[in-house]
Amino acid sequence: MGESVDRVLQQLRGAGVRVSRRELLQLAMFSSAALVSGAALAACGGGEEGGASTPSGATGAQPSPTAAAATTPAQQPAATPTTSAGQPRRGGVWRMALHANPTAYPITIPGALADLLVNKTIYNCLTQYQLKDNQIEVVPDLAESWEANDDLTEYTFTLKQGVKWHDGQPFTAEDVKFTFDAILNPNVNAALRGPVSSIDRVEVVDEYTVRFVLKRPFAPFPVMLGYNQAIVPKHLLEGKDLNQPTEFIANPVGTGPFKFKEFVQGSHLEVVANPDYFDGAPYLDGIVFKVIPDGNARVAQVRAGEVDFAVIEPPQVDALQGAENVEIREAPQVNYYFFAVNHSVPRLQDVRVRRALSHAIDKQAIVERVLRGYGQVATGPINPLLGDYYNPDVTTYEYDMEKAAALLEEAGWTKGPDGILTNASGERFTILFNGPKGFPVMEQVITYAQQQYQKLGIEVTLDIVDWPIHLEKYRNLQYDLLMEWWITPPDPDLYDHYHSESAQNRWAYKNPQLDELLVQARSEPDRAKRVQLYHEIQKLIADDLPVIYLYYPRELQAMNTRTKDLPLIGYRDALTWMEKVWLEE
Amino acid sequence: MAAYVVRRLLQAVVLLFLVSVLTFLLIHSAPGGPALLANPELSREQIQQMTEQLGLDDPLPVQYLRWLGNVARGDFGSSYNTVQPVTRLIAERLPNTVMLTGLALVLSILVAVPLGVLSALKRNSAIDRIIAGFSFIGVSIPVFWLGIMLIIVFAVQLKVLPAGGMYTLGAEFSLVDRLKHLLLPSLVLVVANLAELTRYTRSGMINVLGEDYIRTARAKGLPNRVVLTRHALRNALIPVITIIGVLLPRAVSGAAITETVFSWPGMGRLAVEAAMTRDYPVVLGATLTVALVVVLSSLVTDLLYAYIDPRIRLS
Repeated sequence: MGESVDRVLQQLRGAGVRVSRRELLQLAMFSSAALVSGAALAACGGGEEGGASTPSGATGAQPSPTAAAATTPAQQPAATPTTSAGQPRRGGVWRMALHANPTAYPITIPGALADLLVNKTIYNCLTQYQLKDNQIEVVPDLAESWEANDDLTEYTFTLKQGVKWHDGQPFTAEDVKFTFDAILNPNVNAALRGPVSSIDRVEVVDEYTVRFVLKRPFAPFPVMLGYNQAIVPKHLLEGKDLNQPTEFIANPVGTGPFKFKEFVQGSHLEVVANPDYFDGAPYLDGIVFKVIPDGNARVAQVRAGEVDFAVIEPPQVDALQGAENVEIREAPQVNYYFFAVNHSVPRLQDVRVRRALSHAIDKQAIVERVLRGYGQVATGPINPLLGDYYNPDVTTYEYDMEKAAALLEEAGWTKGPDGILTNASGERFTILFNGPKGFPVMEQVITYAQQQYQKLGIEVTLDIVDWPIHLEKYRNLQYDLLMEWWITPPDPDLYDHYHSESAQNRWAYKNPQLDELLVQARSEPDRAKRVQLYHEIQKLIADDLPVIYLYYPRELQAMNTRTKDLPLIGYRDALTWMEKVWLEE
Repeated sequence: MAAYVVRRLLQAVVLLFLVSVLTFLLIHSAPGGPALLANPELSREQIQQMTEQLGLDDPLPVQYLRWLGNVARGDFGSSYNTVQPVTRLIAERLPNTVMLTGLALVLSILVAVPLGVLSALKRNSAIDRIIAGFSFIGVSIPVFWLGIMLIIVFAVQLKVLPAGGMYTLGAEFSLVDRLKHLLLPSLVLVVANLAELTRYTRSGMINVLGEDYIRTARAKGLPNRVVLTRHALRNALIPVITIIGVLLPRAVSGAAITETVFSWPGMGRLAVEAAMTRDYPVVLGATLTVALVVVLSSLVTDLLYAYIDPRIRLS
């Protein structure tokens, strides 16, 4: 049994190896398709980039910062940010690759990945994230400190004083109120309203104190404020059309370590150092975000030394092997990949069926051979990066085809004369398997799953479609199984995706017991109790298996070694620390 | 002549109208709406609201007439993706493309016409076969492959030319720098154009060389050079001009793949990216711009025919 699977995976791997070449061609040919997916992906905070996977020592190309960590069971990277070689030096322009045109305005859509990345250097949120002791923690950014009332319905933030907008105006609590009023205004097309939808109202207490009154008790609130909730200047945006502030977009103003300089459509966006930055002037003179839509062109520019940083895909690692002055880093990210299960389909409502579907997938083999080791098998929706919130002690579904077959039989599915599983009422077991086009890694995983499920006697129809159509079908429950991922804020709160009343629950999943626990856990002020609740939640989820959990990918960063002190975390978060980064001679 | 031009221009207006209707129908019938709305973070209500704001919930004829009305007032709308006016996007991208494809076209003509003449004169010789061979290799090599190979050789290995972009960022404008960035992408385009142009010049030349008036010219004792340039080449160029007329719109519509491989911010990328993300206003704006150029260049081609071959009368 293992043998035949090995053969399939060997083929997959073979395909994977070829993909690096074929993908090169495909990407060039369909790079616009990749673009779309990129943009859309981006929207979900992730991307082909962030999403698909992350390499390990397998290639031998990586230097050591992560290698040591990769051998630990949890495979968490070391806490120390980067190799810091000597005294920081001032000067130089850092060049980073973007896959699409950015818009340096954080409030409204598109809110694509390129926008988010650029905005991290121009604006600040109230909080931000750093990696410490192998777990992500929330630390102040524009906030000085914060405190909550006992039942977690009111948060009072004290702001840093003396912070100035790039045009010299002072930053105050009015700006904070203005920003969140804008995001919550139903007439504004806010891209990232979800994370702060718990806010009922924002009150300015004094110039440097702001109070958030929430609709319900909400423990992760300070974490959510760091999730792309950039603060914008009231004095420049008040009274403007917030959906299309053309003037502001042409000349955006933030509080960040870098000031907007210019944007040339399709070419680049440049920011320059803000010498008055409240946390100290940045070492860099500036950052150039180069728009390079083609994945192979990004790799080529990294090799040629024309770009200092690009996020790449596992198949591209080979192309960077032996490249001078290029380091490939594995950055942890709060992200998991899964097969979504449509719970409105009767045959998928039986937990035995879902368990069988999980047993039939060799996740370890996917990580090793499709992701080339740049990831870790997922046990559930909570990422090991969340430290003690993560509960590894839950039911897992080892690869076991016999068990899968037995579970299906127990659930009343037996093979008919044509080899297809059929139940007592003569219904055939079919699966419409949806996935987005243009993601080589995901397409490989889906193809593998199709073969595995077919072996069990399930008729699988693949539905690999363009990104917008994929999302439309996801939203409208027009699938049986569907491959997706979630990049989430670094908090265990699962309400949005798992609660039966949440609009983001795209699986029609209903579990009253879980609903209750989810509400309780997000309202619990005591951390230890909260940890306990999430351990319970993970157990419950692992038993009931709302979706088929696959892997936690790591982000692959191709970085020129002259870059120093860039924290080793996903680039969405690393970019909030750009004032610390410097360039070696 | 003037009446002819006016008539052709009036036809052009009708044609552009038809192109806009067709483009509108095609892009709206493509499945999956604007990528803008394909954001997993957005709630159903938000999507509904934005659909209404963009007017995408109206019947298609209503949407089209609204767009047409705005265009009549000179407003081509704004990009869904970048919130910038379509006219500005095109105005920014068009010169970049014309710079690249224009240079490529000129180089192609300079290389292909002499090669085609040479092929015709030395018909079926070794030189003819070598030129034909290279032309066919050129037209058969996938553009993206050639582009990536050139980048690997000249930018990554030899480090003599940049891997992409239009100029060195942060540096002062310099012609040398600009030409360095132009070299590889235009080379790719020249290679792709070469076969067509060479073959057309060759066959045109061969046809003409067999004509009676060439024999007459030779019989008059004119020097070979004069026979070739004055009598033969001028007539042989008519089919070549047809091909250039076809290549000219390409110079404006851009070379999406080449522009993508070399991160060149041109029209091709703009149009393809807009189509892929269903950025309707940009798709319509870019298509109309290209359609306009196609119409104009076919007009210019016809006028050139008349100039080169007085037997052709415009009426």
